[in-house]
Amino acid sequence: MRKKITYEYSSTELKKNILLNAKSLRIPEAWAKQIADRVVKNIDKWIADKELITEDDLRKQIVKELKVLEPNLAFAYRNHDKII
Amino acid sequence: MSDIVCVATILLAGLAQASLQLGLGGLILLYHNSLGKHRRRRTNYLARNYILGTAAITFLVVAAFCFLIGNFFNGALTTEWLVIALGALGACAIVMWLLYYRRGKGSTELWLPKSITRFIRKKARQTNDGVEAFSLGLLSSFAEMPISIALFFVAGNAILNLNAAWQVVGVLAYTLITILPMVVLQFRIHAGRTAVEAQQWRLRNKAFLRIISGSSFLTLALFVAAFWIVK
Repeated sequence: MRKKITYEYSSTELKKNILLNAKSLRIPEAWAKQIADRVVKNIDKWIADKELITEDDLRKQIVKELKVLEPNLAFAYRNHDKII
Repeated sequence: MSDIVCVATILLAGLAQASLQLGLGGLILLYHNSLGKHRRRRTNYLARNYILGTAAITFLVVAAFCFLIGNFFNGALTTEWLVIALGALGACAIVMWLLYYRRGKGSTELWLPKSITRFIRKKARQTNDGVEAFSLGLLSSFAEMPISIALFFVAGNAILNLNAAWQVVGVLAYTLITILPMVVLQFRIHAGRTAVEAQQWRLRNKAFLRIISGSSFLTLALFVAAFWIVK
């Protein structure tokens, strides 16, 4: 049987990841920071009452949050692993 | 064989290889990851090295195939070998039409072993210097070898039929054609586009790219049949 791999959610890592994606999309730094802060805040709230979630669910929730603020960033986040 | 037929074969084989997507996908990944970490100048330097890596391996492999054909086939493939190459090109055309892209909306994932694509993704994320980018270019071109091997055979055979003075030019021309899509992407990103826009274009035109790839393989197969086998 395949071993289950679990990670601890880190809001700092999430923020860093969003900022990296935003930079590669040439989104102005101040706006990127605002987006990252808002998304991290909402995800922290969403995750608070959950003990275990899948990576896929977390990604979907992040994309949902990003889509409202910056659709291109949401696209980059969602499709990053689907380029090749 | 006339020079025009040889040049046309080299052009067609080059175009068929240029329509393969792993090299371009790897470059988009490299751009996306690098632009998030480095300055634009550094990213352009890495992209240049990646393209150079792809060009170097293509040049060397085509030259190696020329050497192989020159030494083991007395400078020209026999009709039997050309028929085998023709069959391989036809099979590749079917693979490109039906299997090359994995099924799934919103994805341009390719029909390659997952371990290879995972490795390329990981390397594209970690690439920080020129040598790494160069090797990533080598690797991505090498990973598509099972599909491009028939092209190398046909192109190598056509190159050896040119005058000795033009053979190096033939190998160079083939290499330049294969890296053309990557050079165009580099210019587009230089002009202010982003890697995400390039990926969105690939997604929108996935069906078109599939048809172009398959058709170019089939066109080359028909060309080989008409001008090299039937004559």
